[in-house]
Amino acid sequence: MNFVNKQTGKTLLLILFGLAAISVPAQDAKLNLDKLKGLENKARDVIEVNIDGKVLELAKRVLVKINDKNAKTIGEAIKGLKGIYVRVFNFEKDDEYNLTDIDDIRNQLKSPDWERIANVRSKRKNQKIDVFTKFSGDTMSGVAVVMSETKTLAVINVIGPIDIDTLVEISGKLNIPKIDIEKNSDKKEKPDN
Amino acid sequence: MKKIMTPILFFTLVFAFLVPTGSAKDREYEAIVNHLQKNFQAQKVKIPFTWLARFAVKIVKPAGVRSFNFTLFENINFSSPTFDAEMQSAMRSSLSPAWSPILRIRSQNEDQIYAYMREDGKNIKMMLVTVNQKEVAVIRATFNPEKLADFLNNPRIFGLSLGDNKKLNLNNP
Repeated sequence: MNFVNKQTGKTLLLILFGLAAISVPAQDAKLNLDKLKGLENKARDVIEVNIDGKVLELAKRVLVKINDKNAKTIGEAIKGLKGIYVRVFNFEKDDEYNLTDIDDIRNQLKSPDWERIANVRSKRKNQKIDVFTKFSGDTMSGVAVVMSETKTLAVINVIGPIDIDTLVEISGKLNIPKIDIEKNSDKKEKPDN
Repeated sequence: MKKIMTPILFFTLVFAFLVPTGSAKDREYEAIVNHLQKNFQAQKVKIPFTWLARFAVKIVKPAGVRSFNFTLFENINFSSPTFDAEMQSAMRSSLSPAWSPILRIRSQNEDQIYAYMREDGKNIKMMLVTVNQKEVAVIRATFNPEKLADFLNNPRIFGLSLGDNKKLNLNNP
């Protein structure tokens, strides 16, 4: 016996696809950071930050109320965001990790939806910073920053629209690693060393 | 009559804090505490007058803190390589899915931190475990974030100002 007739089935499918279409822009900027778990055994220190859902909503509500410049800056910066995810791995010795360890992250960022807007290479601590953005139509749906130094590897994934200057400004706070790039380096790719 | 009622009221309030309530928040907190005791042979440090502090917090609600629980352990017997995974698993199994893991710091040389949060109406519940080489602290606190923001703007308890123009530190620890 068919409990769901054709019309009901079509309606259900439409609802399901409709819901999926609505949820795609917010969700697809979220990187799958699980593959980084493999680095945990090699790393001396690991920092994992996950701020989303109700906790983020609460932070938006409260931070702007605090009479403090830092709190207000962060409160304003996170206004339109849906999630902030940070993974930092510090290693004991130089080059204890391999860049192939983050190949999975780089592969996710190779999708045509992601665009690299900054690519900074510095000889200081062999620092490399790549900033990627993702747009859904005219709306920015997320930012990803991959930072590597001789003893540190960090991935920052922000879901929702955020100005890169603001991201640089709030870096170094709330366990988000300091993003050490010039504010005007956006969209100007520098050659690799 | 008043002479009898006052001590009865006082003892009722005190016992309300001493007797385990069996509520979900306490069960989750106790599960983490028990895990540390059972699996790492941790010894509880007796902190005098904790009940009084909890009682005072419940009444005064300083900085929007509505209640808290705190257990300190020493001489914890753990091996670094597996402790992090075990602790993550213990917290996940002790806490209901409503809790979100917001921060985990695992360091071989310094402190380890496991912080979970959940919303509870107008309040926020926080479960925090901090671990260093000598001690482990398990802290459960319920606070009203709006009141906490008010307190940070104008730190006062019982009308007494505690403010000294200190800047709020939102930078990395």
